[in-house]
Amino acid sequence: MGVSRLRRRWTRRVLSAAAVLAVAAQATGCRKGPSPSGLGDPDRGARLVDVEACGSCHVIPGHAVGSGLAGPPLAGFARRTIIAGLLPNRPGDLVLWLQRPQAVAPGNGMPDMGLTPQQARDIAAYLYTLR
Amino acid sequence: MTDAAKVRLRWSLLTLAAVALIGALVAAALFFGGFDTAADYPWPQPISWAIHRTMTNSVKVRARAVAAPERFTPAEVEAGFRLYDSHCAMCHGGPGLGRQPWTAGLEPTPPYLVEAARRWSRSEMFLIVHDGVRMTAMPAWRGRFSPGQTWDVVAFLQALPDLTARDYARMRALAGPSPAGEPRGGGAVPSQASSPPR
Repeated sequence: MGVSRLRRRWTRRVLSAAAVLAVAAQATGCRKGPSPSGLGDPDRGARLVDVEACGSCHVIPGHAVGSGLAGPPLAGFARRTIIAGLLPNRPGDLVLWLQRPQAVAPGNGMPDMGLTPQQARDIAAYLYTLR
Repeated sequence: MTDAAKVRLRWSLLTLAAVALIGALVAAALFFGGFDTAADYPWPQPISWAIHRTMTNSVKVRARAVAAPERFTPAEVEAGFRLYDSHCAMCHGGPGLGRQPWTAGLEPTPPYLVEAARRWSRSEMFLIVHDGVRMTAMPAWRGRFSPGQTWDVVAFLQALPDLTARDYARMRALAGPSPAGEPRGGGAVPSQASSPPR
């Protein structure tokens, strides 16, 4: 077997492995770096959505366990115009809402979860990936 | 060597390799620290799905043997609220009430129970509280609560979907300070919510 043929074969293998990885990364929703809005890390936000049990009250695309209906479904969140029927859906207002929902709308069902500002920015970045 | 003998040889070698691989994985986990027992890293989604299904069906099958009361009295709901607020709210929160921040270190994370009564029957909720859930942070409460007290908790969970954040705060105010030695569950009730209704 010639060297060039061996090399071609290995090149093909590496390329197909890379293609498989790329498809897998796409499928698992792997995103790198901060979101376009410069809010936070959407990957960390996606993880926080699980950790903070958001699925107890919200249907969230791609988050199977939970899928509660106490709060609104979060699909298409990036296209929503108003948060909680009160605030315009802008990054700053969303971060405020995530951190202190009881200060924004006292007595509403969404608890203050004790998120740090960075955590709130990460979750906001994730929510803005839901188009 | 005949073709049949070749096929047999190939299969026995494959079987041997599979057994060796499984043995190596088990040994890696048992003796060489190959399995990370940290509490908070997430399972891959198929595994967390499988665990959740297993738990759901285990509860559903076993709860068939549990006979639930026909209805609950307001006194039972009230008693259940006291137990819930002092023993459950720290991990499960409440309407408008966050969990303790350290719950973020648990995997699976304890859910909010606002909708629990829509997903589980009374018997199933009784069983989950009474027996706990293996491989989660949910303890079996049978050693702490009598069956009657466990039904009180179920009575409260049954009433939970109808409670607003203000209702919960009001129940807290009416219940007075928490009994000595009992930890107060959940985070702080927001001050606005705990003020008397206008």
